[in-house]
Amino acid sequence: MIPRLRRYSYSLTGSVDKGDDLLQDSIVKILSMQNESSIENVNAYFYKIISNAWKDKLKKKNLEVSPIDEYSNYLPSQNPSAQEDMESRQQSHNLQSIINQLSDNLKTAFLLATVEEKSYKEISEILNIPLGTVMSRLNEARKQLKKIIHKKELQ
Amino acid sequence: MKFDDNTINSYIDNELTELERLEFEAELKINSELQSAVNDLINLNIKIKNSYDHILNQKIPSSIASLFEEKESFLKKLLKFKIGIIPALSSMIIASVASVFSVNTIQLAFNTPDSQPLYVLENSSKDLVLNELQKITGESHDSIYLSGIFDQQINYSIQSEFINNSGDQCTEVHFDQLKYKDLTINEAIICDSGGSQKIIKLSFIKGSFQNI
Repeated sequence: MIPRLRRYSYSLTGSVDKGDDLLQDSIVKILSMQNESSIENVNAYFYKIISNAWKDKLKKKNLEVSPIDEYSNYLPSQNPSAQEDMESRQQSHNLQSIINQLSDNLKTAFLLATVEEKSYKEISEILNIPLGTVMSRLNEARKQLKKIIHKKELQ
Repeated sequence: MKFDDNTINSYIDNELTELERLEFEAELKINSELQSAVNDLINLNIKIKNSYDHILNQKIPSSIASLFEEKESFLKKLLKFKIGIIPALSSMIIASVASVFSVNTIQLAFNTPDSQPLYVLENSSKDLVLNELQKITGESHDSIYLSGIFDQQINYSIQSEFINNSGDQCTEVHFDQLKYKDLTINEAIICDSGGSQKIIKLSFIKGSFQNI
């Protein structure tokens, strides 16, 4: 589960280092809660803590999301072609830049559905929003992504 | 188009009911505009997911891994979050009821002794087991999750705890009547490696355990 939580933190912050900081803070918070008998779904709870911690950080520090510093954090590719590897990195970087253009609310719902493959019910629980809002956020996120990609393609 | 964006999204995200999905797929076969919309979204999903997945193969940083090097393993901590310990007496009653009323069904092969309470497997650990099951059976992730096994309460007892050759803390667990299709999954060894949990053994038999 930790690698997936790490991926989620990374996708929210757009940076492996910032993502690790976010995850670390969240785990410390979780571990300090000794008697949380009211938690029904631990998995969703972890995502919720991370999402809330990220919101708090954004509010406090007005952090900017920066996927561009991630090139050095990629594992060496299995791909024998260095050029293909570079292209793959470039594509990942471009996609992450596009996602970071979404508002935080849309981005969080979209990442939970697409990258973390959470159900709408789980997303509703994690973000503490009604199911209908989950659906409208996902719809809006995909609409905006289509527009951004289309615009990029025209450039 | 017959279907709105919300329905298309729900299809992509596996949120349609079986009936809705069949209706959607019937239209999908004959509607090229819908096919194009669905394919675009699926491709976008795959590309985006892949752009973040590389981090899954990276080693967990020591700053995070060290958080788990507490007296109590993180796995235990996770499990204890919302694990109701079923008293030994209750488990004995359950076992007795099962053996009295079951007709041609599973008999418990490992009746839990008084000293070994049953625990309820949490979703995070259930995920691990089901992922492993997926690898073994070769079936799709969706097929296993849609079988309803994920929604079942999975009980287990701890058989032993040990440190393996790699220095990971491992827990050997016995599952209580965990079945997937015609498989009875009876045992697993779950290890905590630098904060990342993995299953190093998952044993099962085809069919059910029978009383000898």
